[in-house]
Amino acid sequence: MADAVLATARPVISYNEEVIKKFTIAAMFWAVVAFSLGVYIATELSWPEFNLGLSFLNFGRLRPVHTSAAVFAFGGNALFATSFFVVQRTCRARLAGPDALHDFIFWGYQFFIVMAASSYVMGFSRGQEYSEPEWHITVWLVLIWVLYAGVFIGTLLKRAEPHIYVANWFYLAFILTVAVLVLVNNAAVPISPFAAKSYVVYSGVQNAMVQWWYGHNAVGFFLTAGFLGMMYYFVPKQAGRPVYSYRLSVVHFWSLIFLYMWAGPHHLHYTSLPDWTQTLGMAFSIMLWMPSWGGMINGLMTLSGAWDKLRTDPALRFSVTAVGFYGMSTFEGPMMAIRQVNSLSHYTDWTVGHVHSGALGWVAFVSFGAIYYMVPALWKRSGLYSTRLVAWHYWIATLGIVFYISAMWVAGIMQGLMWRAYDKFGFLQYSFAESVNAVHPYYVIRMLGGVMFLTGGLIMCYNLIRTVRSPSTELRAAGLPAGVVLAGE
Amino acid sequence: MNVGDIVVGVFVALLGLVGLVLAARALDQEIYVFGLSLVAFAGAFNWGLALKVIRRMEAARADAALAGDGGRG
Amino acid sequence: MFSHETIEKNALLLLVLTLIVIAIGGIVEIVPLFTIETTVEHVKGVRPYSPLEMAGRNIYVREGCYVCHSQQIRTLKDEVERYGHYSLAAESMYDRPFQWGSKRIGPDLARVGGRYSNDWHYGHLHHPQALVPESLMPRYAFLAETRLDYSLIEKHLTTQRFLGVPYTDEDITNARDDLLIQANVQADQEGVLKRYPKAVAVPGRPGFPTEMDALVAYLQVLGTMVDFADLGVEKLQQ
Repeated sequence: MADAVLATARPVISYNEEVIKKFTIAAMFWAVVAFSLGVYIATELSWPEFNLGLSFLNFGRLRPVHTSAAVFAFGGNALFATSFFVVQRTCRARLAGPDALHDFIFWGYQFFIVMAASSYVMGFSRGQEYSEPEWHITVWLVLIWVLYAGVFIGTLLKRAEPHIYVANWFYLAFILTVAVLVLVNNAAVPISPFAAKSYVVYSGVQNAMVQWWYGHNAVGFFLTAGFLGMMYYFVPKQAGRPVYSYRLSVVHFWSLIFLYMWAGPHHLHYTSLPDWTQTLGMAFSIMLWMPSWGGMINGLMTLSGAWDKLRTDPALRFSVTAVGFYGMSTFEGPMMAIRQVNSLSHYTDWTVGHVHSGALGWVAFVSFGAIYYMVPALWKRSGLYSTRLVAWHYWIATLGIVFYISAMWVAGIMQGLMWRAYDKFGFLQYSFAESVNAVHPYYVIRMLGGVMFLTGGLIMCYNLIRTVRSPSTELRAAGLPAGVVLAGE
Repeated sequence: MNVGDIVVGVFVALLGLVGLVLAARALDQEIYVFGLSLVAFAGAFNWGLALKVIRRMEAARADAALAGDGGRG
Repeated sequence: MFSHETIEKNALLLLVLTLIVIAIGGIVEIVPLFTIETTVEHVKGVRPYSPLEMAGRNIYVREGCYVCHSQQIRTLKDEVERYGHYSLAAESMYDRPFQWGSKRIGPDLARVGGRYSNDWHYGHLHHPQALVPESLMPRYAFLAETRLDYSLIEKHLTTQRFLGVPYTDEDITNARDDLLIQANVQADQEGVLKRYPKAVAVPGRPGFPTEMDALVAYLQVLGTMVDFADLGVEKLQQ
């Protein structure tokens, strides 16, 4: 409504929407790839025969492909798409730089993904989680990232709006921090400029600390700050309400980005990392609960007075459920960061379940919500092909997550308890192999949960393709049947 | 054709050249494959860029011709 | 009066303040680890990896073993009883990258060295389920058929030396020979053992070291370098 007023009062700005469309398509493509790989490696863990004895299909090489596809390919493309969508609209400015540059960022990022994935299966990995690409691929990523940052910041600088909208603060923090994290964590010396193998500049305990400072903030900034940017734009848009509290969003932003950077050592409780660092990590992780829930409250309360929309708009249901999952996993996280809880949960599938309640419930759901909103807007369609299919997607995917995380809770807590169980003679009660055997049924349930989530993703793809193929509203507005092209177009 | 297209095109061509050098002097398969892929990437990207520029120029010429006709007619 | 509006209306100010705010946590937690001298305990026995062990370690990294196996025994009673003395920071001081891991789909490997025979490891890597029926581990038989590529072994050592690993000139000139000798259990191990005490020779085909030979040599040295018998509590203080 406000948009319509603005549009008549001010000159129309032409946004670069072509590049957003490309990123959106890529996000959905990689989503299906990531979910399928997840299902496949979950099958390998249920029945190891599925490794087939082939080096490039082994779990060890495919897991980094799955995590990179989910985080950097699906999540990354969704972040590129939405950040370019949001920054142009909230700044009322076309993306900075020539269109060819935006195209290069798009194709360059896809090139990064393909090169990284193929290098893992060919047997080249830095051996640090979520940071596996070897040095030459890292250099390429840094190049793309610098250009991305340049375009984003350039657009902020040429904005026609006096204020920078809150979603852009989060996107900016995400872009800057990821750059810092990658540059520090991936610092390595190649054995030759013409060989892929490199050695990281840190060793042992320092390497561990830098890695988990990186690793936890890859979660904090790639998978949280960026997606909070999404939440701050798309939830108010879908609900047709302003953000619940401006003041809360200011507090949320600064406290979140400050506290997150301290939380890394909770990945290293009871290890050879000095105690003082572990304690700091734990304390800040617990404090992090507060800004996280501040953000959740801000997102959910934005719906006050518009809760009825949940009944009619299943895409909004995705966004809101995502915020709910965000709240749940940001409670679970600080709890698992407490040393005593961590002594049980660490090294078990509880961690895997926690990650997936965040990755599937929060990251994927908030992206689905945003993409369901963006596609009709980008392709100028009156709406989605079918809201019933969105509802199907929603329920299948939600049920899949429930299967997944409850299976992992049971498996994880069982592992933790079996590993520390003593018999009446004071000996360890179970061998490690017994704990492996015990979790088998839950691994199968987890795999089924993954299949359901994948099915939901495929339904979404079908729905979006049908939406894009449906007639454009521009033509319908002109009163012409589909397929007739207006003169001069 | 605008300055942006030229700058990006030249930059990508240079990256392709880097790929060629990497592939030529590679000490392992990974750098070899990466280098060649970079060459292919640069070629494909610039091919697409050139097509886009040509299409835009043709559209501009057609527009100009249409406008010219209108003026004469 | 300061108002948040000032920041919201100035993109560069927002950028600079964001950078400052995110820098603090990392600086406070990471920098002292390099400067506090006791972060890495002073214990005897930890040495750089022999060329064959290093090659094996790189295969361990390449195959993503760390996604299922940790190399970090925590200071918990049950872990120490199951796997051995808790891990010291000193024990991974030459590990690039560190391989502490985050998930145990299989057991911890920090002290797997010397626990099983070479033959057990070869058999297990070929077909894990033949020895441990419950195992979820993939078969790694292909490692035994792949010749180890050690053409750049000197470059590996010199790069590590550049990063501070104390490889001597002698170590680097002998790297190729040391690698071949350690992969041949029949050969005289004297030179290898002088440079790399406790290195375990593996029964490879003479002159044809495989990737599996290297991996087994690496697994066999894990956690064996420090002699815990003559370590007092005060030496373990961080």
